[in-house]
Amino acid sequence: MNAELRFLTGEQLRLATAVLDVIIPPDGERPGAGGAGGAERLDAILAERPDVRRPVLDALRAIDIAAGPCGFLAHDPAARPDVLRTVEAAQPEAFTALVTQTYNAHYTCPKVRRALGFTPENPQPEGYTQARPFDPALLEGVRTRNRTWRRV
Amino acid sequence: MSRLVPESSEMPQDPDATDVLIIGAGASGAAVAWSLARAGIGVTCLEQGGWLDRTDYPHELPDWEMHRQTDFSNDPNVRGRPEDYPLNNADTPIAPLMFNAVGGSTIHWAGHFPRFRPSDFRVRTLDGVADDWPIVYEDLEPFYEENDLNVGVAGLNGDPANPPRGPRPLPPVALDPAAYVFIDGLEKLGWHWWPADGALLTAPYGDGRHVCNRCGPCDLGCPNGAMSSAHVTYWPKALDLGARLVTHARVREITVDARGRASGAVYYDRDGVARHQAARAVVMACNGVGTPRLLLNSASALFPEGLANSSGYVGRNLMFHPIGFVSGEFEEDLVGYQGPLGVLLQCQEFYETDLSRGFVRGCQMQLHHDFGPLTTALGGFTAHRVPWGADHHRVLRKRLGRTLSITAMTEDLPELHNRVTLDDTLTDSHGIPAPKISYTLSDNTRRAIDFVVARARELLETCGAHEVRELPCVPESGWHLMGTARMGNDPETSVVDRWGRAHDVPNLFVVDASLFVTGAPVNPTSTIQALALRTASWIGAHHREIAA
Repeated sequence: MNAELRFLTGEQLRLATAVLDVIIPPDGERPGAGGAGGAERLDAILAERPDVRRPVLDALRAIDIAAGPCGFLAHDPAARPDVLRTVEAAQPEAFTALVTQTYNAHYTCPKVRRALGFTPENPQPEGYTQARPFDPALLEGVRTRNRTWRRV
Repeated sequence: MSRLVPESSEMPQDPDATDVLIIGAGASGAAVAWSLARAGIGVTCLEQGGWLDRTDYPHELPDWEMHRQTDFSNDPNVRGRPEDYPLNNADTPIAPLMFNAVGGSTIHWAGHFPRFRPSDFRVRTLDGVADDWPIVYEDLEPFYEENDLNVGVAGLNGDPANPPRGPRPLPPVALDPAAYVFIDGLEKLGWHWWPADGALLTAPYGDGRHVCNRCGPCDLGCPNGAMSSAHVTYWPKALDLGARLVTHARVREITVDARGRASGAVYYDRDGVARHQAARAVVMACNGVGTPRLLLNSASALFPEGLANSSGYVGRNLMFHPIGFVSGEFEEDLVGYQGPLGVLLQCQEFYETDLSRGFVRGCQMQLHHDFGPLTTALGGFTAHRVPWGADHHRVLRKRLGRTLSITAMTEDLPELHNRVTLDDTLTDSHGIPAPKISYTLSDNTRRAIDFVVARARELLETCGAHEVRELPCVPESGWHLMGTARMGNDPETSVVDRWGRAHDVPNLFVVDASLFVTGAPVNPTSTIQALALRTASWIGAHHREIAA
């Protein structure tokens, strides 16, 4: 077992890496969720959130079984999405949990956020630059309309 | 009643009886504490949560967006912090949302800060439904004004959709690409719009607070103190004036003396020890679920159906603001994730009753910003996920920063069967019975949602959105909890009088949205705080009589 892993076994990590690359595949030169370190972050999430462990592990296990006797890692990469679709149909709740945690793992990666143009990657402490002050002239049309509140 | 802990007289007693004991340190409790302390009245407040420090917020963490699903969820059942209590939501399509801390649910809000209109206090007279309030808009107006100055409200005068009012102390939220897109569509349709009143700082205002730096996720709290949450507006001033605030103090029940007057409260301190705080008057500020829960949990020989519940109205008439979310995708990058999430523009074109629409009362559209990458991938406001697989990146790029959203909010009318009761088995971590929510969406409200969601779609399409997604009747939308200890002149059909004083218990007051008679179609916090200041003003003028 990889000493740095907190919850998954090494074997589960390899499986998760391959599965995550199908859920969020490579994008041009950018790696998919698995290649970008998503499986390691998934491991950290599972270590900290007992509430999501069971469905995620169920989904990973179901994917490995659905791939056939040789398992998912030996499956033809081009056919791997079909395996996930089979599990999605058979176990929608567990599969949805796996997708959610994959998105969590991938889109909390600073490198991924930078690649999407998020500078800064976190909303604080910098925030974003101020926009233009409001121009009251924009309201000229609205101001000229009749009162719409009811007197009582 | 069976007792799990000793009688209050046998418990550790807090040192002195306080003039006024406030239960809950949120929007209303904070305003009352400040007002009474300023009047020289002794105030103690018991709050089940604690203070949030800047470092407690997730905004500087790489996984900040994920905290919406865990410790900063709006839903206490999801969040599950030690200070939260569970709710049985099995019998409601809308989950009550709240936050338990100093500042209460204003920690977790968008700061959208409209006032009610005069017609909102005369619903029966004008529209023949529900009931009129025992007060009118003009009764509240001076307290709206006072509150605006205290919290720091950004906005602009001259709106023809609302009565004339004093100037806001701060300029409206700045214009950004999202605002221009919305304005273009609204002008094409000829619909009302106005910069939204925002309880946030658009310019320097007050010590220790910073101007909004447009970081975006106001719903996760504001580590800068730019959002006018009660823990940075009223509480520092109240404490300076001598108010006492006890945190991590969960109240089990309001105690009464032999005459049936409130005598204080039993609470569990941070070590789990049951204590009694004596008081000459008690103010309930626990929100529209927490207040009826505590009143019902305070049943005694004198008040067998719950405290202040001779009418049977405690817990009844629960109102939410049922909402639909509508999001539109645009071709251009609008950096929609930048800027305060919920404060941009508002449209009140459909606010007043027009029966040709198929329903009575009205609705409002709150036009606002959108989310960052993770929340966008998970579906954003409308919960339509970005698909996994080969199409993932293309769809994400179409949405991220290019999405604008509308909260389509309707008025909800009071109905007796919509209520908060005590669950038979569910309890909080101190063994106190938890609330059970029973709520059904009325046909009128459903028609109103359908109408306003369709208008929101029409607006986004007119603005140029090439794809529009809807989530009608959002399950996680019970931010506004109203009506469960309502005010009125008749003790048989209301819990408190026009000053928020319980009909049955002359030194017991309610100041949160429980006392709303109707809910209007807009966010309630401005009205909650104005009512709280009004009640505090009355207590201040009558405190000797109340304490006698």
